[in-house]
Amino acid sequence: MATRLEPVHRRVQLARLALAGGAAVLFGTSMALARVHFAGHHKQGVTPLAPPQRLVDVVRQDQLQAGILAPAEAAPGIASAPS
Amino acid sequence: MTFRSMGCDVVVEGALAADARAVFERYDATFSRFRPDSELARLNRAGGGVMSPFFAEVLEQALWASRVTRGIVVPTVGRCVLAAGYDADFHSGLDRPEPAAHAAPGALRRVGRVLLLAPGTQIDLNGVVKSIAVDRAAALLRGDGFVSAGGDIATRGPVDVALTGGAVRVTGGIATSGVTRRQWLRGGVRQHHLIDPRSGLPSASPWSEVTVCGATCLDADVAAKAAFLLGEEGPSWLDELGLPGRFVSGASVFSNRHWKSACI
Repeated sequence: MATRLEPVHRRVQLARLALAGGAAVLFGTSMALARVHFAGHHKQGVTPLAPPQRLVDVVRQDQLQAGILAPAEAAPGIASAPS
Repeated sequence: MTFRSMGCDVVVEGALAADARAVFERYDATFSRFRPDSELARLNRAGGGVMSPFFAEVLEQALWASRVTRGIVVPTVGRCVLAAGYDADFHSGLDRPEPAAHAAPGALRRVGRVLLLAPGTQIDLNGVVKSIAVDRAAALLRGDGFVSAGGDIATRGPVDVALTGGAVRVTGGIATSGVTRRQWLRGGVRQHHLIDPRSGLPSASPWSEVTVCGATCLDADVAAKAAFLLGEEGPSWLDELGLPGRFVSGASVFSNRHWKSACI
């Protein structure tokens, strides 16, 4: 009986190994293709998502900037008046 | 420390690293419309010419003001100001029986340090000169304090500032533009110095005063002038830029969203 089952077990084991190997190869190939073809998968080292400092400087210089305003806490020593 | 320059009282509070009066004197001597020997007067007479680096730097700031206000605060309305009757120092009296004239804004071109003015163009840098001088003088303060020129203020540290019917604590700059102080009559018609470049005439803005708090006095001054000239659009324009503004119209005071949220 054992001799009849032995080749069956061997074939089952081989089939399992083949399926596992195939799945691993398929997964690896998919990942490699995804890295090459899809923008969401980085191909080089990660760089921060920030605009260049020079651009930031130019944009900041070209805007009116707000000051810090709060309710008065003491009697004013100076007044703003129309000029 | 208090002194007079640029036709207004200058107040400096705090220890200075250098002479603030000299800063104001230099700007006044270079940019005065009423001093025939000023560089501004010379360039206006000649229709342009080679600018000093100092003059070119301030003109650059005036052109920046024009860009950020989308052409509302411009340096080319000198002829319109003259036509409205502002042709001498305000304190010498400007009321005249003859009516005001009308002039269109001019145009300029700048190539490096060479300034070219279109025929008839008179430049007027008063839209930025005083607030730049205030910022420069405030930069000389060794510690906390402020510099005020006729109510245009730059602070080092927080400073409590009085306004028409109120007070606020400001860090940075604050400026008020309006027509309640500088008005005169031509042919019985009220005139003022805030020219709308779209018409070339004194603005018919519904506001009598607009106050803005900026990071610097220059930011505040340019924004206040533009908000005044934009009329009813002024409050929302300031809100779009994230600037707090306070508008006075007669006895009514209106604050935009950013002013309200800062002062609750």
